[in-house]
Parts: sequence; structure tokens; C-alpha cells
Amino acid sequence: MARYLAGRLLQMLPLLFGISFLLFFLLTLAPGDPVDMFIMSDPNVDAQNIEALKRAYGLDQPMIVRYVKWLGRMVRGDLGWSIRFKQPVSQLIAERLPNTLILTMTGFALALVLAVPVGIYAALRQYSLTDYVVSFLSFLGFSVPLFWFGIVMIYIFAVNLRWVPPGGFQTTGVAPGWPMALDRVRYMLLPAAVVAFYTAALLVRYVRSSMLEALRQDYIRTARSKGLRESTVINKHALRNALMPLVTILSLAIPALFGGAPVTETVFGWPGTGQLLVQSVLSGDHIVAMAMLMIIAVLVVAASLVADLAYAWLDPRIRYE
Amino acid sequence: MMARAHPDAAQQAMLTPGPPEFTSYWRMVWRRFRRHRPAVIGAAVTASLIVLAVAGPAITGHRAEVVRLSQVFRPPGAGHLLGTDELGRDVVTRLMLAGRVSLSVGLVATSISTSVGTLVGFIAGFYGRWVDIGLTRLIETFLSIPSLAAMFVLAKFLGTGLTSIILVLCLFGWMFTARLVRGEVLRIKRLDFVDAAVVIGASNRRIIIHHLLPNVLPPIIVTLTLAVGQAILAESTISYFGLGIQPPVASWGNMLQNAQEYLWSAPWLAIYPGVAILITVLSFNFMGDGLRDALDPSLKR
Repeated sequence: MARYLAGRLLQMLPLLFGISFLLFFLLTLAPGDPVDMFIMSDPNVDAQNIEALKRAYGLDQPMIVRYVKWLGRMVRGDLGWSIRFKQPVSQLIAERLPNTLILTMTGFALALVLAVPVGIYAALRQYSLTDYVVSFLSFLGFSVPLFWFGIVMIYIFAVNLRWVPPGGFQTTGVAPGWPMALDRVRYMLLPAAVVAFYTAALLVRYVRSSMLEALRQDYIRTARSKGLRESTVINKHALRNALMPLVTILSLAIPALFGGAPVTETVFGWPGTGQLLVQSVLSGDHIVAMAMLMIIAVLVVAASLVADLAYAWLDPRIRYE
Repeated sequence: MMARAHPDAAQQAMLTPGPPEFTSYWRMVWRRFRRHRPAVIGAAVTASLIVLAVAGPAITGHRAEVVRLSQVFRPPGAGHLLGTDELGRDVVTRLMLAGRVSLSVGLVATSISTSVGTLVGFIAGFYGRWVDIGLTRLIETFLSIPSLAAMFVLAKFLGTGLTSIILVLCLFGWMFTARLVRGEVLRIKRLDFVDAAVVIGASNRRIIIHHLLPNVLPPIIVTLTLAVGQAILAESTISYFGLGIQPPVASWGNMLQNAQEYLWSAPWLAIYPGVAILITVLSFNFMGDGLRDALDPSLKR
């Protein structure tokens, strides 16, 4: 087991190295660094100042030199400095992470509460009307362009019904305490609903098919034939086995908790890490984008390891040597 | 009639290991697909969308590329079925033109990425050893990259335009097929009929083309169909963020670029392009679902 773990951890290094090189290469060679963006906003900057600016930020050096310097800082835990925000990247992320966590965790919690019972119910009544409706909704959920779904939600609930604000994070000048908390909830309602809906759409399919799979097993027939009540068969035998794959899915969702919901956050103007990532890429703020992408990549790799370990722990038939 | 005469023969052909007997297998697939109502509807909708996109702009009587400032923001109604946009262009006509772009980008990108994925998966699964280890690492690397942000990065790097958006979709789309095909090849390679083929002296080429490919084909067809929907979604997202297809060329994604600003004054501009994407992707997903059921002989319904 320890050997397996060490092996997996060792394999992660070249993987992350490869990802970082690929992304750094693409990001730095893409046209439009932050200084270029700055020039676009102010056409009066003269060439000399541009040169000086680029030199000050190290943008004039060859790509490979910049990569090695960046890697050196990264290894020492220094995420770098954002040219656009004129702030350390770690500070930027720290400011936005709570906003993202509250959004994604609310969304995921809602999705779980919704998808698990509904998926199980649909599986227990396969080919019933409920099952078809659930399947259809789930298909809708992963066929809809997310950004458009957000816009439609804004149109219905903010423009027409005026129940919630059309986007943003908070109303300025709200008294702290309860009024402020309620204000935040009003702003979070729509984006959290969007995150919850598409997460639930994916989850419900997993829950349904894994419950169907569990119900087909021999031990269910055995349990039934020895005269157990149907509720006991479902709750004690089928459910426990059916929900196991869910652990994998949930551990694979860890990166998304941190990385946020880039599209949803952008559409709703939610100041989270996802929005930060999208804006950094679009505005050419490479260092911020690289830091975000690398943290997510590390989490993706780590999460797949956690998922495998969790699975082995839950299912005694699986052993890693 | 013929199809109904031998239902068991088709099943039997599938139960015996070996390359499926083609005529009866595909006849069974077709029969199962026809019974899958959502899939049939999906296929019909896709076919009509393609016809509309190809022939439609000629029928509507509007030239979408003509800017008419006297006609801006006309609400849906007679003359302009779905209204006009901020430059006075007919929305229906633009939707059809955008359909050409979005559908062809989705189909071309998916065909390429699925072919590449199949090739990589085959090489990894068939040759094994260090080739497999290397390619599997490559697949893992690409799977660990947050794909949406990475697609933005690559789109910025390559610049905008039809070719680069297709390249972007391919570069971050091939590994799903590759992973699937590799697994299938590894599984099928161990079956007895492949050993038998090796024993009678079949060449690698023959084994791949006559024994492995027919057996890997069904799951490839399913992922191909589902991937078209995903590619169209990805293209629309990239174009929405301004990194994909550039105006004045219309794509469903870039038609929504300014949609949020017009939600109060001209909401139809924000609604219909999204509906077009949703219907298209839904159709492909339903077809994929139907194909999965139809192509899998172990599912009996």
C-alpha cells in the first residue's frame, strides 16, 4: 500500500511538469500581454515607456528563461505577482476563494440533496413516467450551454419577476449582520441554482444507473428470497452498494470546488476564483492564470488518487499492491 | 419482414465471440434504434436542422449580412419571424447561417478528434509496453488540464477563425476516445478469437482491421455522436467569450455575446440562439443514447 502510494505520488511529478510547460508555453506566446492591454487603453504611451514596462515585468526575456524563473518561484511556494491587479497572486486568490467556496459548496449540496433521492426513486420505478421525466431533465441539464442557461435565469427571475438582482455580489451600504447575510443570499440564489442544476443533472444519471446495477445483483435476489422486507432490501443492501461510485464522483469534484464555476461566475459577475481565471486568461495576466491552472491541475491529480484510495477502502474486493 | 424473421439469429451471432456477422448485426441495430423514440426524434430534428441551415437562408428572403439601421431591434412578428438584431439583420436568417458554422465546426472537429483518439487508443492498447505507458501519460496529462480555461488559452494562442477553433476542440477532445479505445482494445485483445487469428498466422494489419476494429466500432460510434454535442457546446462557449468565431461571421455562440446587455430591451436576441444550441445538442445526445442501447447486444429490451 505504502509502495503503491509512493509510486503514484512519484508519477504525479512528471505529469504536473508536462502540464505546466505546455500551459506556460501557450500562455506566454499568445498575443497580448498585460502591457499590450495597458497600451490599448492608453494610446499616448510612448515606445520608450513600453520598453521600460516590459523590462520591469521581465516580459522582454526569452520564454524559456521566464519559465525557469517561474518554476523556481512556484517550487518555493511563491505564486507570483499580478500585473493587472498589482497584487500578489496568493492574496488575489485568498480574497476570492471564500466567495467561490460558498457558491460551489451550496450548489453541490443542493445538487446532492436533489439528485440522490430522485435518482434512486427513478431507478426503483424504471420506465415509469417519473423515470422518463427525470431522464429528460438530466439530458436537458448537460445539453444546455451553461452561459445561456444563466442568462435565461437572469431574464426570468431578475428582469421579469424582479425577485433577485441580475448579477453581482452585494448591495453597497447594507447594514452588517442579518441584513447583509440576507442580501448575499439574494445575490447567490441564481448562480447557486445554476451550479446545482447542472451538477444534479450529471449526478442523477450516475445514481440512477448505479442503483439499477445494484438491483440486478445476485445478493439482492438472495435478500428478497430469504423474505426480507422490500425496504430492508433497498436500504441495507442495494443503497449501500449503489452509492459507492458516488464517493469517486464527489472526490473528483474537489478541484471544481476550488476552481469554481468559471462560466457561471462570469455570467453572474460573481467575484470568485473561476471568474478570476477567465479574466486572467482573457486579459493576458499570465502569472495569475498559470497559478490558478496549476493549483487546479494539482487538485485534479490528487483527487483522482483520493478517489482510488476511497474506492479501495469502501470496496474490500479492491486491493492496491 | 426479413428483419423480423431472424431475431434470434442476430442475437446468436453476437453471443458467439468473433467479429459480428455484419448484415444481421447492423439490421438488429437499426431495428433497435428505430424503437428508441427520443433517438429517432433527435435524428429527425438533426436532419431538419441541417436542411434548414443549408437551404434556409435562401428561403427567408432576407440577406443577413446587410446592415439596415432603420430596422434595428424589431421584435419578433410578421416580416421578421424572430425579430432583428442591433444592426437590423434578420435573426432567423442569421440563426441559419450560424447553424452552418456551428454544425460544421462540431462535426468536423469531432470527426478529427475521434479519429485521432481512435488511432492513439489503438496504438497504446495494441502495442502495449512503453508505447502504452507513454501514451497513457499523455492522455492523463491532457485530462488533468482544466479544459475550458485551457481552450481559452489555446484559442488566444492560435488566434481566431474557423481552423483554429477546430484545432482547439480537437486538441482537448481526442483523449476521451483514446482512453475508451485503449481499454476496449486491451479487453478484446485477450479474447480467444484474437489468439486464434494469431495462431493461424494473421498479420497485425489483418488482426486490427478484421478482428479488433469491428468490435471497437460500436462504442466509438456512441462517443462520436455524444462528442458532437459537446463540441458544439464548447464552440458556443468559446465564441460567447469572444475567442472563437468572430463577427460578422455568425455562430450561435457569438450571437449571444452581447445578449446580456439586451435582456431588458431586446430579449429575443438572448433567447433564440441558445434555443438553437440546446435543441441541437439535445438531439445529438438523444441519438447517442439510442445508439448506445441499439449497438450493445448485451442489453435486451
